[in-house]
Amino acid sequence: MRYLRGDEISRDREILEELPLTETTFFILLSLSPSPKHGYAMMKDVEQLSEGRIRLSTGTLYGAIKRLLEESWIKRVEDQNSLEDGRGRKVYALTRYGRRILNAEFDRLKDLVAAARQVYAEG
Amino acid sequence: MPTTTRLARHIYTMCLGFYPSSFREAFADEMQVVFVEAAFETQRRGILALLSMIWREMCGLRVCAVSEHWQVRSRKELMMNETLEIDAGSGTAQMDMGSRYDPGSWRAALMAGLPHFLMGCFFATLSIVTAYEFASSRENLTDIIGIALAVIFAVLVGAILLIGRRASWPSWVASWYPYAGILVLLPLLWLMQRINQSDPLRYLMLVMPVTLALVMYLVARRNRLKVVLIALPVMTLLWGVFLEFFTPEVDLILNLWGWTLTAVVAVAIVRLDNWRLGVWLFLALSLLISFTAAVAFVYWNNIPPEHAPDRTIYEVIKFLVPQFLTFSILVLGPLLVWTLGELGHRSGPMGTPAFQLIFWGLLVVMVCFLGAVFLRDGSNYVLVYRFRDTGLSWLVLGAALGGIAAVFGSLMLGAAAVINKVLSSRTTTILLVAVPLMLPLVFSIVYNNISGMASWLLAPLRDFPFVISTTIMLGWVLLAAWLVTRRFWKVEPRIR
Repeated sequence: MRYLRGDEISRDREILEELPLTETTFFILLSLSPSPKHGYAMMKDVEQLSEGRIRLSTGTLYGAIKRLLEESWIKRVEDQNSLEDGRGRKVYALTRYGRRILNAEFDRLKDLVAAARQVYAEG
Repeated sequence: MPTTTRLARHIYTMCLGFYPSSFREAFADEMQVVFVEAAFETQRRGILALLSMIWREMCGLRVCAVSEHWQVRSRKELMMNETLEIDAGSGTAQMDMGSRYDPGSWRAALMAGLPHFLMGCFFATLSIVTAYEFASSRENLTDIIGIALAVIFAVLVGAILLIGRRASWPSWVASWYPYAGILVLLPLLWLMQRINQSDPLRYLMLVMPVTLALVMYLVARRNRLKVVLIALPVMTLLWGVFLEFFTPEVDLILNLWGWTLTAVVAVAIVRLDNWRLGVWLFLALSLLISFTAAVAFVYWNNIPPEHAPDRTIYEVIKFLVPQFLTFSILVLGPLLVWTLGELGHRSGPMGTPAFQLIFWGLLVVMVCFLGAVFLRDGSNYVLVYRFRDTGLSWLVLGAALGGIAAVFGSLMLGAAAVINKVLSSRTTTILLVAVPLMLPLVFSIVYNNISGMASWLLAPLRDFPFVISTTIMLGWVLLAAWLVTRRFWKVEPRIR
């Protein structure tokens, strides 16, 4: 059994304080989870992941991106393809901290679903 | 790119202007690229799909732009509160009070305008009561009501100063300082009159200009906005001295006009939180009030015909200009000296002693001039042009030495600033060190006329036609205002 260090405990507390995430934030982080993406790809992903329920406007998307950048949940990275085709698109990737938040949210949702399943199973 | 998409992009680009500048700088280009990509793909599904997408984008843009503006504002407020907390040392009570009266807030602006509006009401009430007193032959009514209102106002000033103290003296409180000064001054004057049995105004005319000059300079070193706010009511009050020549009806109109304008300008300056603009607003207000009072003095005065001025526009200008010029010193003087101080501080080891020479030199000239006025003439009407012939040679010598020290200091400071390349332009440096040398000349005008001080400082100016000397002086005011409102330094020090 590994004991958590003081700073790890406080970091975990910090993460828990960020939860629950809004649906939009969750889907944006989820979209970036497999690989870095540019804005338009994120918009498409979110629409697809939410099965068409959430259609982000560019304003909503970049408002969210700005806040996620400020919170250091995501970061801007160089996009070689974009530099080559000269379109100047920025690509965003999850930071380690962002990924931990996504995982924590995922765990929280899993627990919720598990609890709901248990209740239904008993009923 | 199809025409509809291109058109949509143009509209979208225009709408991006609704965002705060910081947001636009970071994301606008990227958002345009994403929008064009989305529009291009949606267009394949038909024009209706495109229109629906554009509609969604526009709605989203409006909501998000408002949200971003709100965040920028909240962040600014947070930074201001943090600054206030640092300024105030510690204590949450101070920070809380500070945040309620943030610079630029409506609350702070209205608090800055309130005392002047109340003064307008105070004087207007007195005018009405005086008119009623004349009509009904009742005596002492003006005195009784005047004292009652003054006591209420004094209590209010005391309460406001307490609030100001708890809020770590925010800028708007400066609007109340002159009234606090008067409240301190009035009992002193009364006491002097009781003890000495002489006219206390004589002493006041000796001490007050020097005290005011020193206080304003010290305030200018800390907060330029406060200088403008303090000068506003002082200027309007000084105009009140001339209102004795009017009937109560004209008096009422002039008071309401002058004080309401003063209140509006104080509100505007605090709301805009911009002392540079405040300097220009002060000058504009001074000119407006001067003009109104001068017109009233020439056309609607209550002076016996044999003493009344001719009813001509020339007389209006002759009455207007000296007062306007001298009252402009209230703001321009301390700010010019502060600017010189900053120049001295940045001009190497020679800079600060050079500035000290100018500062003390100008002060000595001022004190000698006032001393001559005090010792020579017991009446309120001072014949300044006789200063040279007063026989008070030690005062003349003092003024000359002060003048020489100021000129020498200016040369030193100019040289030090040029050597150290403090300012990019040499012309500006020369102007900056030369323009304040005219301060004693402009200051003395109110005591007599333009050629008064010139008679011994600049003899050739003495016989200049009024139009030429007036033009020179007005040019000086504009030049001085331009100099003090220029942004010489990126970061302005708060306290030196």
